[in-house]
Amino acid sequence: MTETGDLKGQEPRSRQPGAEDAGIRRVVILLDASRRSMAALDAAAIFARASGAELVGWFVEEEELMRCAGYPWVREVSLSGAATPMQPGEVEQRLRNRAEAVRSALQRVARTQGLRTRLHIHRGRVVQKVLELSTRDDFLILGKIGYRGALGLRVGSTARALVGSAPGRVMMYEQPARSVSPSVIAVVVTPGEEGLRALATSVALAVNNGASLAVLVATDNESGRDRQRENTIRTLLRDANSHIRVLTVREVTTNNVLQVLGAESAESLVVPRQWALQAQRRRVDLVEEALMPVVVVP
Amino acid sequence: MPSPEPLPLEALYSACDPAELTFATTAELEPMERPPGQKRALDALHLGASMRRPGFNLFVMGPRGADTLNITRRYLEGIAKDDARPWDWCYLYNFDESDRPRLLRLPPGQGKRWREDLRRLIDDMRTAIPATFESEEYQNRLQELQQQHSRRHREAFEQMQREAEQNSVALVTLPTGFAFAPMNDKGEVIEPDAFKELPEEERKRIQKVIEGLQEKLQEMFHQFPQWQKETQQKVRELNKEMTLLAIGRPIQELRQRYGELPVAVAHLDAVRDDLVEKIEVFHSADRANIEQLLHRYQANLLVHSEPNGGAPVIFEDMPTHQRLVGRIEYQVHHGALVTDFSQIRPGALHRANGGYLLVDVRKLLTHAFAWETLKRTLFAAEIRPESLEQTYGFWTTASLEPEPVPLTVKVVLLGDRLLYYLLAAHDPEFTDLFKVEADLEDDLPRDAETRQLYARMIATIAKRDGLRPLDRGAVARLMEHASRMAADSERLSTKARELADLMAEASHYAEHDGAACVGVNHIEQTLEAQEFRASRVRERSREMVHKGIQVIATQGHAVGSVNGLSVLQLGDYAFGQPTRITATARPGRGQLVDIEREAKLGGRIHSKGVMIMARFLGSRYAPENELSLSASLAFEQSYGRIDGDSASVAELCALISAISRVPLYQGIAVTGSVNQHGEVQAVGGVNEKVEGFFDVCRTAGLDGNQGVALPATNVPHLMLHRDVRDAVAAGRFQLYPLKHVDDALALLTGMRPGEPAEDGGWPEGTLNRAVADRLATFAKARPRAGGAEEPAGDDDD
Repeated sequence: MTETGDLKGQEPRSRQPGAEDAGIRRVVILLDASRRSMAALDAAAIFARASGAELVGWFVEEEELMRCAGYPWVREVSLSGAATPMQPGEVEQRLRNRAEAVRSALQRVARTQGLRTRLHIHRGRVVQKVLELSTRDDFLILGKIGYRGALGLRVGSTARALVGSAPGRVMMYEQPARSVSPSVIAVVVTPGEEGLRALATSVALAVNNGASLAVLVATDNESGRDRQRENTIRTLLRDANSHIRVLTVREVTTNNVLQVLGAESAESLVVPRQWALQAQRRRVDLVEEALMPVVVVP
Repeated sequence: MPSPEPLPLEALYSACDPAELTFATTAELEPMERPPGQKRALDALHLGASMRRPGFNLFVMGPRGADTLNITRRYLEGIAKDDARPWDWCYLYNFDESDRPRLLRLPPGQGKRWREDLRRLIDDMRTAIPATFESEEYQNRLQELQQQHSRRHREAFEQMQREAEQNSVALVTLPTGFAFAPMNDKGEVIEPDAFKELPEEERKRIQKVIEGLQEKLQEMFHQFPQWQKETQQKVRELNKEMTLLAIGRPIQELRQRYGELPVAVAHLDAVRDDLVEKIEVFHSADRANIEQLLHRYQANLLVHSEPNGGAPVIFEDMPTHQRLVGRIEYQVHHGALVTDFSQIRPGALHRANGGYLLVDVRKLLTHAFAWETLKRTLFAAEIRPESLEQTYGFWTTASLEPEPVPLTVKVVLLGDRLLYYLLAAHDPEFTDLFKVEADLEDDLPRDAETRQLYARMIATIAKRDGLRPLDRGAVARLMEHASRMAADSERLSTKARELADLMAEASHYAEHDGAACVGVNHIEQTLEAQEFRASRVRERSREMVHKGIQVIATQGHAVGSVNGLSVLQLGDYAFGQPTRITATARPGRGQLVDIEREAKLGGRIHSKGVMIMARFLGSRYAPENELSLSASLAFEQSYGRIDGDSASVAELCALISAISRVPLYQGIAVTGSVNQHGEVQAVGGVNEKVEGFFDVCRTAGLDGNQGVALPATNVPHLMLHRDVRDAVAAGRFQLYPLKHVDDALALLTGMRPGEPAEDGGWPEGTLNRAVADRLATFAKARPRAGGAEEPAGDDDD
């Protein structure tokens, strides 16, 4: 890993082609009424206000729960190990209660943050519904994990599924150790367009939040393409108008990303989707290890 | 019997000749270590101080103003400076039972060092522990443990999920748990209606699989707490390792330093273990919680000895329960009163432990429960700091029960004799605890040797109190005054505090005059100023006499009336006051009515004196038959309580005058008590009495016949004011010594009392004959009186 420069103080230039793609028009928060999704809602509200975007809440009534309740011999096994029969009426009521809790929470953040919000309640399977309803322009936010967090798991199945399949950007939210609004955002810039889109997103987030940037750039072996990418990166970074630290490495690994996060005291991470998917398959899952919101950019 | 001769001038005052003193000023004299003439008390103090057996505590008693405290304190400080220094004591947090703080005894002088060592250790903890736990090594190892834990859960859960999927079963997450349900090829839960379409055998198989999976899941969840415990244990071990890395070395150093003190070592070990156990507090980074934790590791140093001191000598001037045994303070925390080992405060017994505690017994007795507390503590030989509320169960707020401090103290009570005797008589435990009495002398013999010692005592007071030195004239005058204070020309008062006050005032005047030394004039000025300040009541009283409001005749003769003398004590000031005593006599059955007693104004001693008089009259004038007399006695214009028998000679004279109708001379006042044989006995306050009547006579006009008749045995007590002496020297006032009541009768009536003949009769022309004749008249008259008598009498008929 080598440090290539500090760009603080350079004047911003006009927006470059591709930068408008990073603009955030609609923030969609996926809610299941779990504690973690409620925490994600608070962060999403701040994020939406900083971005000047609309905040839309989605709550999916899971059909599968109703189907489970249709089997008289199916039991709900709680973490204490107790097994209790499921009653269809009771499950229905619990779903309505959760929807109401979500509605109240959304109204609360709308009131406190001065936001325009909407809540859509759907019925079906969560991942399937999200893929049906979301667009490339949506900035989707969800907790890294929902109710399965009670098992000690750090990343839930919905988050893992959407990382690889959502049409737009996905923020898997986890309460960072310090503040809700990040003061240092780390970004992984891999070769190719996806890496540049990740950078553009991180610049947009940094501008909205007044945050600094720690940019981890992977080099390409072909020197000619390197120079071209470097120019594009520099152009994108000029829009950030904040403290920027650029680190160049031959290959971005999970470990050196974790080191950068620690060294720069980063509180948010932006990564390209393909790199994230590859990372998931490695021994150390970055999404799981980074104790902070992780934005995956397709 | 002839009238008594007036006393010569020399008998009225014992002057101290400055020429007999062998120094110019007291600056030349060596201060004294010990007060003069107190061998008995000092021997007792020595015994009490040196006896190490239980109960040999001391009671030092002496007259008021004897400066008992200073004498005792100086003496004990002299002994204590060579005694061994006492142990240092401190309270420590008890990690097993927090409401029972532990006690640590340290060698003399090590308490402060121990406290500072613990403070430094705690400071080390404040910096070293956060640094250790923020280190990359710790963070990495902790993260590894947490990852292992998460991985274990995840892998178990994923295994469960895989097994379910392999059996076409979906694992569905619910807000409060998980459920298994039949799953189709698309990974969706099959609709229950569609499930019913499946062959029964298939349905049963799936149901059985699901029931098996449910049981497995339950089993897995049952293991979670155990896995959690295992991880926590690993984290604890990691924390212990890192904690010991941070503070193990300084603790080990302290363990070596205090290795001979098992309690100190145990505390250090407990601190280490507690820190390891509660290290999460440091992780929270909450300063208040961290300080609360560290607070428990410090030492509450209760008492410590100074490097140059011997045994402590402590005077507790407010001996309340709490100031004796210490107290436990409380702090308000969230509206509740809370306390801990650091809030234990020492009492006087803690500070005096290993030495001497001086307490004023009157103060001790007047503070609620203090006396009982002191006795209980001395019997138990240990100090338990607890509040009265706690001791007597008045208060139920949670408090502490600190380990008691072993007590080896010598308690010295200071007080007057009355309290000693009352305690000895009424408190059976008193003599068990205070076996040694040190009784300070009220006065000393005024001989040549004592005069020199007394001069040194004066010099010691002057130096101790930073006063100007006294020249020998001033010292001589002080000694004369000391004799007056002792009410005895042959003795010197030991009331050092009163002397010190007088010297301080004289020194003030000397300073005002710019004199290097205090001279006799300054002493005289002080005495006059003291008398003037205190004499307002006396002046008012004299004025009343002068204006005739209070009737005191100083000239002429009167039947049944005589001037008696009394002393009024107002604080430290006393003055004499003449009182007109009158008597009446008439036929009766031997009754002598004490009007003061009838009016409930007379005390028992006075009544006793009157009864003695009655017996004297009966035995002298009616030895063989009944005394046909009904007489009465009164103190005219006296409206307060009177007591004592010092007026009984005067009363007897008035009574005999009333019976015999022989007038008494009013220019001579009489004082003295009388016994059943008519002998005159000594009384108190003769100087004040003489001066009191002299003042009245001087105001009315001295004619050379006036004077005071007083018991001959009181003559050595005379130390009269210069004005009286001057008048006597000029022949304008006289003092007469009385040995028998007949002396007084001869002096006041001018008649011979007369000696009885063999037949019991009295010679013609004598006073006694006049009395006998009148009584005979009464005897004849009595049957005609028809038995009408006074309602009550004082005699024992």
